[in-house]
Amino acid sequence: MWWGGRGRSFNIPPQKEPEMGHLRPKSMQVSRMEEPRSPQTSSCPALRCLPGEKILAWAPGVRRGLEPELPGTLMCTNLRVLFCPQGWQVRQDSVLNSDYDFSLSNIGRLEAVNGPGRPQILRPGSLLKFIPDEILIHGRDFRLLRVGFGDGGLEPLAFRVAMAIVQARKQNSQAQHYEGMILSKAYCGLGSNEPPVPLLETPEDWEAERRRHGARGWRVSTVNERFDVSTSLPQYFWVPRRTLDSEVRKAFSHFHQGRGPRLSWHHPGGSDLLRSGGFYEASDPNREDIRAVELLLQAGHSDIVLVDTVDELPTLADIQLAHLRLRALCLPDAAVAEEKWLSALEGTRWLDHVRSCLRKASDISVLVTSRVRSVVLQEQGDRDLNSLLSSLVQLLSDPGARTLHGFQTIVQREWVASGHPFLTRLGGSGGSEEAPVFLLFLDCLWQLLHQFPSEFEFSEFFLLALHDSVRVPDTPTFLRDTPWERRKQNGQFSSYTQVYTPGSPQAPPVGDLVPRPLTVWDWGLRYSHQQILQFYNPCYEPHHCSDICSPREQPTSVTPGPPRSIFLFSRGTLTPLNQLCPWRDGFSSLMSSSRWLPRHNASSDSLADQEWGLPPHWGASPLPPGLLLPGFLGPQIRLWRRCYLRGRPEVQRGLSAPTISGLLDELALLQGLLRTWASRPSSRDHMKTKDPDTPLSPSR
Amino acid sequence: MEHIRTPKVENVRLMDRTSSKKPVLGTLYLTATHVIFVENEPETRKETWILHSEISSIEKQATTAGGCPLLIRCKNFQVLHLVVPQERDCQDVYISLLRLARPVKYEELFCFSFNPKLDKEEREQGWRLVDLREEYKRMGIPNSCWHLSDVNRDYRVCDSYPTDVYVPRSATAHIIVGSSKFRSRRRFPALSYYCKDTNASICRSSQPLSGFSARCLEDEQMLQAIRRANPGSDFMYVVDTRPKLNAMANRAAGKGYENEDNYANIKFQFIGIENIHVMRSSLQKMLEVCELRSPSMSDFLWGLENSGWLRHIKAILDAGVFIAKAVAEEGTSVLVHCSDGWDRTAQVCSVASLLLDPHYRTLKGFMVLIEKDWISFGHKFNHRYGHLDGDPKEISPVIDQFLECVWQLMEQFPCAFEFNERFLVHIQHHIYSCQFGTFLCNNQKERQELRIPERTHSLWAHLWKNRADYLNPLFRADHSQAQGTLRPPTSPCNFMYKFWSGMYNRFEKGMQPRQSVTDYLMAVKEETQQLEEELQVLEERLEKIHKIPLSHMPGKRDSKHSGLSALTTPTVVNTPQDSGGHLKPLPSRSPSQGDDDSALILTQENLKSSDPDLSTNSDQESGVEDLSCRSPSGGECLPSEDSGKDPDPDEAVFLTA
Repeated sequence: MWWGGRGRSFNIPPQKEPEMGHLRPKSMQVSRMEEPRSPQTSSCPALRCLPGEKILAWAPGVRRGLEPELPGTLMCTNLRVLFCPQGWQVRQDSVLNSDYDFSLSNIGRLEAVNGPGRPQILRPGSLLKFIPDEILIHGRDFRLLRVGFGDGGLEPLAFRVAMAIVQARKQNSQAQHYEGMILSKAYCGLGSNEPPVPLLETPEDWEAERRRHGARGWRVSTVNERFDVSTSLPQYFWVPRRTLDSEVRKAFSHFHQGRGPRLSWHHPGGSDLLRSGGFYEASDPNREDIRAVELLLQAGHSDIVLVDTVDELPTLADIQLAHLRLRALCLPDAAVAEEKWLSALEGTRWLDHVRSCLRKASDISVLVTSRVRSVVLQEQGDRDLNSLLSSLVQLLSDPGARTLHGFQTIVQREWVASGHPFLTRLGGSGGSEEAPVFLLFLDCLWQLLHQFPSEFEFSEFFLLALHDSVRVPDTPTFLRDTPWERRKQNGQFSSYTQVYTPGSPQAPPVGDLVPRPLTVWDWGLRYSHQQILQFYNPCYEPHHCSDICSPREQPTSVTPGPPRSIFLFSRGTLTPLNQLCPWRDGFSSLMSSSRWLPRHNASSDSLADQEWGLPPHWGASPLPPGLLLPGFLGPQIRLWRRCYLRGRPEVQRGLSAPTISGLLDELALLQGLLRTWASRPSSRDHMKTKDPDTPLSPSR
Repeated sequence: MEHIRTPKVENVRLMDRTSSKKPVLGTLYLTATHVIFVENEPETRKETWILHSEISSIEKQATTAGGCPLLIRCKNFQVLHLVVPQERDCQDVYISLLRLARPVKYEELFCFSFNPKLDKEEREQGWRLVDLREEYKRMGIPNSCWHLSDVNRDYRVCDSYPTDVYVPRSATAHIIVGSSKFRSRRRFPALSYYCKDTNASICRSSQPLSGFSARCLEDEQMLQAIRRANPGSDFMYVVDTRPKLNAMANRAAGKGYENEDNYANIKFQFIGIENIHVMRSSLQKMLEVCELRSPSMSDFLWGLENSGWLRHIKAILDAGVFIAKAVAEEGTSVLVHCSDGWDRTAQVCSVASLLLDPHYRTLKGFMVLIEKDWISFGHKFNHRYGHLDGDPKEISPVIDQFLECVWQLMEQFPCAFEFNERFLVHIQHHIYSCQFGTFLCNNQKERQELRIPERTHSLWAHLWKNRADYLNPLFRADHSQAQGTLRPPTSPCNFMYKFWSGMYNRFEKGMQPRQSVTDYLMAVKEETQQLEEELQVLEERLEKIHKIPLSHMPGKRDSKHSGLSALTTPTVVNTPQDSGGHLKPLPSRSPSQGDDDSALILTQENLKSSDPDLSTNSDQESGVEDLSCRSPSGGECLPSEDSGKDPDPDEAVFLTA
């Protein structure tokens, strides 16, 4: 076994045209494969390993299923399976190749084909019964890689690489924590003019964010600095300025897993969006504690709306089931009769779930924007649908959140820092609590992008890139469950003085920057410059109006009096509540006092109708500027074809692909012309000369 | 006019179907040609115009406390839900519309009163825009194997065929006449498309009158002649687009299909496209789904699937793909027929031609294609689209399906088509509107008898004049997609076919994405063109300026734009270009230069002003005689973007934005 060693490159000698003469020497090299080799070998297809990564097997093969077929090398490491096209220029600025790179946990199904017979499905630990002609790797992110192997004495290699993948998957299924990397110079996420995405691991980040929101009534609490309030909470969060840390500590202990109410977003009009775990029913708080809880929930407003987050939304099990069904449906050999495709799609319920999320988010954004109040999203665990809803609400109501930077900040804050259990939910640990909540969120976002193509600074590419990043083992952004685990890992990192330097002569680090752990936002790691440029939506029309919707009631001076009105928002209606917390008098008012008025079944009415007198999706009278109210009628929810149908060869065969890349080419061209002639310096340079080496994925 | 019982009803409410928004109060006018609803809202006074011939059904519902509801459904999928306060008024409107929406004479149709103020010359030029003889010449016909036959002069052989029919040279008049007697409605095999590269051809006809055993020597010779006209292949396909069962049933009535034993070297193939009645009810089912007030995911998907509409679309496309493949790849000629050879045959032949020949994917070529395969070969526009009151069983969305096939292909091959979705939507609109004479009548003979070209205007000229609106910004003639044969997948993949919301939901603004990428692109492209012109003018000026001593330059401190304004002042240089003529298009652009990118964004206003039709001459376009009743708002109001106002029909369909 050969260990790549930290930061060393493992190089495979260049592969020339597939002449027979060259094939012999190559199989000679196989024997040399086993020996450690010096990393200084020359040119072409080279694999730059991640720290701790080792190559287990490799075989020359041909990428199939797309035109043209692409010769190259299939490799299996202990972290991933990847295909290196022949003549691949190792890009100096992207360490990982994103197109044919499948992390082991992303492999949904592995099939080996020999001749016309039935393919053998290789489960972790199963034995390959024949020498494969072809291997099919179905990604859980809906990608498909087909690699065919020619003959000419290399069959053993094909067999070996297939078995290596099987073996590696077996070992990988025991929960494994990946290490990240540290680069001497952290790649700036998206070019020099973008500030780095705040990781929200320092109080400074939180304070800066608080200022940016203009949340004057709030402060950064350091009460969880040692993760002793909750390991799933971030170290820092925002609480009302008037509360003491001791009160916060006491109040939080009466919430599920210590996740008490915290500010998620401050609306410039004065409303506050809070998120909170469920009340810990078994606890027995004293009067003072209850008062503290109330103060936190009330956040200085006289109007409080508690939102029952899970109400009318799919459960985690629903989401997982729908996603599994969707994946099964999108497999190339899905056994769905042609004329039954639409009902089969309906049967997955995935689009229904997307629809209910959009509807609820739209309702809540109306609650936030229509009046000055405190809107509290309450979910028992506060780590799944709360993240989804609060991010969607911000995207709907805040134009700033729709920039690339704003959006990444939201994901970092509402998902990563807030402790969404990515590893568990995305199945990295093979547990039973899998549920791709985050992917559901991305789908919701894609619907918004589709409905409002000029409102978002980022493009569908970016969503796809993010979609494909959730299982890539290069950064600790997604492959952890809690901020605490992430922090632990980073701590280890800083004790290493391991520095990874990419092969190219980089500019020396600016100043004495503390090496910063790489995050998924360092897109330069896996995407070429050209691809990153495509993250930007060319249709984006920035809003000039700074005054986004201001609620009807101007913020009154913050008086710590008792709240005037408390509502529970459930089933699309507001129900008055007698009290905020369930404990007083040993009686849960949350549970019993709610007499819900069911939403009219046959109507599309949502809160938007009641509050604005508008249809939720469109109206003659203008919406408050900056507020998007998405449509969620059946015909308005679409299937994200470019993501989910990527594995269908007939779709890939130059059909949907040219749509978007053609669009972008054309736009780049037009905008380039525009810029030249108008000679108006644009804030961002969309148009770069095309790099012929850029390995643009044909499926993008 | 005598059918209008009440010309005006006040305080009518227009309900919004898709939302609980408050209904709009307004006045309803009935004119000789239109139903007009004008909102009371003083600032907007939004108008909705609907041509009588656009109305497909009127439904009067039970009177409620609020008034009497009247539902007007249009053939372009607009639905108007009105509530008239007085039952009696409602009855009057209902009775009047029942009559007005069902004209009995061609002369009642709008195209005979429509007058866009073109002189005779221009009108005739418009009718000459699409020339089928030119088109066959482009295909390379006549040549050594094919020629123009005068056998159908004065419609002597077949009255639903054009006089110009292209047949194999070896087919004598005797053979043609004999064959025509053996074909339903005497529609004998004639050339639809000829592929220069392979010499293979697509011919079309109606079903043979073969019954269970009948034969016809001339018909067999006719097919031989077609096969021999393609020396490269030793057989030909005969494609019956009907389901086999339907074709067999026809045998009992003395019709049927070719027996492979009787015809030498043919391969016979059924392609199961359903008949017009199945298609009509399928569309009906799909429209019911579209009309649901708030469809859930399952309402929509199940409804769409159960309507079978997309399945039918796929069947038509598959047939086209089969034929295109035979012609382009196998180099084999194909004879296509269905029952009478004017519905499914027209669909399939035109889809195949579109797949085969990039020319038909251009704006002009597409007009030619419709003229060739639909209008000239006697597709019964009057019957299928109910222009005159007639048998409702004859009505069926045949050409709508063809347009949708094109749209589905455009979705799959976005760079291959020169025209955009709006072009298709407008054509669909005008097939029903009867504003132009192009689609009138059932065949060429009828059109000639009615002297259509002398009395009406051509749609093609109108579309061509406004072609800037119909260009697909993604089209690239040099793109691989735009060249050669299109090859859509035929393997089972129904997910390739999408619901065309831009057509069937086009009046439900809320259903459409809020901003249109296509419009954005078009705006950028237009902007680019303007800038190019600007650049050219500026460069010319720059050259001139360099020749002039600097001391003469008052505006030397220029930033770019002030420089521009300095240059426009004639005091600087006295060159012929200074007339300002070249700079005319610029002023609209200068004010927006400040705010950077927003200048690129297309707003309704921008688009409107870019469209000469939309902004200025709505009166000119209308050509309605009685202006007093035509423009209830005093003629001041520009139509708002969702009015169905027809003098400016583009408005009605201009909703893709």
